Amino acid sequence: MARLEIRDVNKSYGVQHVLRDAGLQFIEGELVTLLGPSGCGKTTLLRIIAGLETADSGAVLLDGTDITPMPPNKRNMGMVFQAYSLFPNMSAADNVAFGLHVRGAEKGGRQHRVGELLDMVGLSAFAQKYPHQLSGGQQQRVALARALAIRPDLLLLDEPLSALDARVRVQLRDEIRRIHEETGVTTIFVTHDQEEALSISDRVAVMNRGQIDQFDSPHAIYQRPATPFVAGFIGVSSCLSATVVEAGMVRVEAETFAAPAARGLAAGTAVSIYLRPEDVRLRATAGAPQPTAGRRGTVRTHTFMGALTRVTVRLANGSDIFADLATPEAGDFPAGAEIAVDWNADRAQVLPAAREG
Amino acid sequence: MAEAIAFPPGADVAPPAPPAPAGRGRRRPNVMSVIWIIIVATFFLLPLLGTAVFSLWAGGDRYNLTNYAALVKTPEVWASLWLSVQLAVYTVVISLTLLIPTVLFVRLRAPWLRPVLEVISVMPFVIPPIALIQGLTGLYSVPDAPLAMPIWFVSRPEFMVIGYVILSLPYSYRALDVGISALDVSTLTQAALSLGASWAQIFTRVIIPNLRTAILGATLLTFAIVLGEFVFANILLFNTFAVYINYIGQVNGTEAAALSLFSFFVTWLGMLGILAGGGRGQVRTGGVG
Repeated sequence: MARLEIRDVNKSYGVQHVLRDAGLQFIEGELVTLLGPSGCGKTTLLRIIAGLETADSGAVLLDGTDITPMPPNKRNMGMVFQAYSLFPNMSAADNVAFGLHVRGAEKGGRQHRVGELLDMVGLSAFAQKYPHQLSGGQQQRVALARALAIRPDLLLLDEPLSALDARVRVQLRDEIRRIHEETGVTTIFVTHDQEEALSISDRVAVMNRGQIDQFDSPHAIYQRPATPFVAGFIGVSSCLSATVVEAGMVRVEAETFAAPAARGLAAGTAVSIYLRPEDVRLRATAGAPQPTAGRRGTVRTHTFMGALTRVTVRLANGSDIFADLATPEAGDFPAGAEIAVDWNADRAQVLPAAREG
Repeated sequence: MAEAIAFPPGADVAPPAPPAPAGRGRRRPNVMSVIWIIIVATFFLLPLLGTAVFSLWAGGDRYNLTNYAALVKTPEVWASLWLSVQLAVYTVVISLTLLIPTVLFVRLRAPWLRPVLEVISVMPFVIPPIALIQGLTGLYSVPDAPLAMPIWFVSRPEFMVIGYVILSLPYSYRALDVGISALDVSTLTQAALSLGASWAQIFTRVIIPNLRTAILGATLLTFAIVLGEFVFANILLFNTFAVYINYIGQVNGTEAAALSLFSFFVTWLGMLGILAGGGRGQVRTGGVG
């Protein structure tokens, strides 16, 4: 296990600034995911940690030691790549043994460690198979075993699941979490898949245009997004434009709502209210008191998701709002129905109405 | 320590290979394809057959192995063949020593140089061998020239190896480039680096073994070119195998035919050896499923 610190790392390719003052501190033994859209700099940051890229400025510190100038083969970091990276001329066992072999480990210890690792990834029976005889998921498991065989200070996973089909991806994702818990090695996982990130990480660093927008637990990232980008990128949110009128109160159109998250913001501040679909409730208007204009809407579409159905409602002011309802309940709100919308004010996230990005 | 954990059976295990098609189920070859293959085979095989028949001709209506027996007993045949083989070995060693690191460097560190390398590699196609050897001789053997080499070297057959390396460049480069293109060299190199391997270990344990077939291909092509090269040796008055075949052709047509066929089979045997040996060790990429 090791403690890693990224300090103000910058990287440019020509005029393209890929990383801007990126800084992170990792706790020993945690699994951190670098999450962001394509081109946000997450893989570049991982490769700088691995020593495969050099930063223009900033530092990478491992257990307090600056390893920025250290070549990749001296860093003792295991890495699994997005592309299948097993050596085609070697069997699965030889691949796993490679790192130990080049370190001069004696044969007995090497074989024991290889057996142990292949056992851990469930591929003992495939030890003598060559990469072309293994499926994509099996190849990535061998790559994982190979990276762990050297007892790395850090395990770096660069989108290792992205080339796999959905079923294998979910399965291997859970295996990575299990193996991380077994080994306790500090792990950095890069992905653009938020479901992957939220499901296996101790903490998630959401990256946007080369910067770390938020670095927090998956729950906090989901429930308390720190920036409009994070709110828009993680999960599904409905966004309403509003203005703070007084402490804990915001105005949407001509109506004032309670929004505890707006406490501390000055009156008159333009904000966006982000509502998760599971926090939105729908109510039939027939036979009930007429809702105010700000809460009145028309059901537009239903998106069936199995146990839940996502209902899209067009509000009177023209904005769309999403509500996740139990599928049988969603049938009570057919498309075109006039309904009233309500939401859990305590869980509404209020952020300054800055443009995304 | 790690604990053995059973995986869900059949989770992402490679599916069994599909059954081989039954004989009756195979598609029958198209008649036009068969005719076309026969025409092409005839075009290539007929001259060989004619040469073979002529090489067995012993005058009148007699056909036997006299010409082959005479060749075996001629020391000049073996001397010229040995010289050509030596030159071919030197050429192969120098070509591979120069090209493998160059192609790897361009692939890993300077991909923008690849078009330049491509152009250089096809230059021998547009420069006739006679111009090439005249140029090389002028460059290296003129006394007091900036690149003049010692007279003992330029007067030896080994001097021609410089030209042979250039002459075989289109084939040796192409074979290596195709082999490297089939590998994700960059990822393999980075994976090996992250595991602690030095560049020497990456080169000897990862790159070279995975390029074995490409290296064998480049070797064979270079070998064949040097064995058959005539212009350089003829101009510089060295008695290589090709020069000797030409000489025999002028004094004894049937022996020349036998010698040509013999050299043809030497090359073919080499190719078959590579197909058999290289094929067994063929490194395959990709996966199943």
